[in-house]
Amino acid sequence: MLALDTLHGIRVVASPSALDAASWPDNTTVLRLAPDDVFVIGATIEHAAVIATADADAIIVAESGFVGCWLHNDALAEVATHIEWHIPTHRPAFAQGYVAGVPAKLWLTDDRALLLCASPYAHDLSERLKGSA
Amino acid sequence: MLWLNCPQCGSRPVEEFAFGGELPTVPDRITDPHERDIDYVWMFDNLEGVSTERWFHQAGCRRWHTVARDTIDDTLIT
Repeated sequence: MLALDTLHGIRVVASPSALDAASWPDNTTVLRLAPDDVFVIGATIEHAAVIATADADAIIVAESGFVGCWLHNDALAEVATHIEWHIPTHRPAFAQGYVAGVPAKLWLTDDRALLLCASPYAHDLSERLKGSA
Repeated sequence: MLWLNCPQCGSRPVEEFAFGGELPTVPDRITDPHERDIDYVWMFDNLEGVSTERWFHQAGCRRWHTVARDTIDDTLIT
């Protein structure tokens, strides 16, 4: 069964240009959920100070509403059998859509992938992917 | 199965989206702003042919997208 842990970071909703211009520390994982919406795992609100300057209407909040786990290649291949859509082949890549019928997201790097979903879906996702990790 | 192209996420099965209805066009003959609002919200063309529609990608980026779909054979135009 997947061990889905809470992911801590910040959520920023701002103009796309402000998000494009933002820079983040190396130890963070930046997930662009939408052109105007980003979830930065491992970042703090202080890291988004530049965005608040660039976009006075930006919404910057601490985010702990997602859970996820890292998958290595074998586990990812198993999870991929539960995905109907085309998984990007380039790395790094971000993809989102149904995984085993549950709204989920994938952050794909060269050697592993982060599978995450909103925390209310955690139980459903782990139950449906039993044996995948 | 119908697949929709989400500009942010790519091609995804229609199950990932919620249908938001037609994107209506208000006839020019209606000039009163309030009547235009009523027409926009309540009057639908229910076209047989290419219909411009709004779809919400609820399982992905959670954003609204505009799609042209042929209602005769349920194929995507754009």
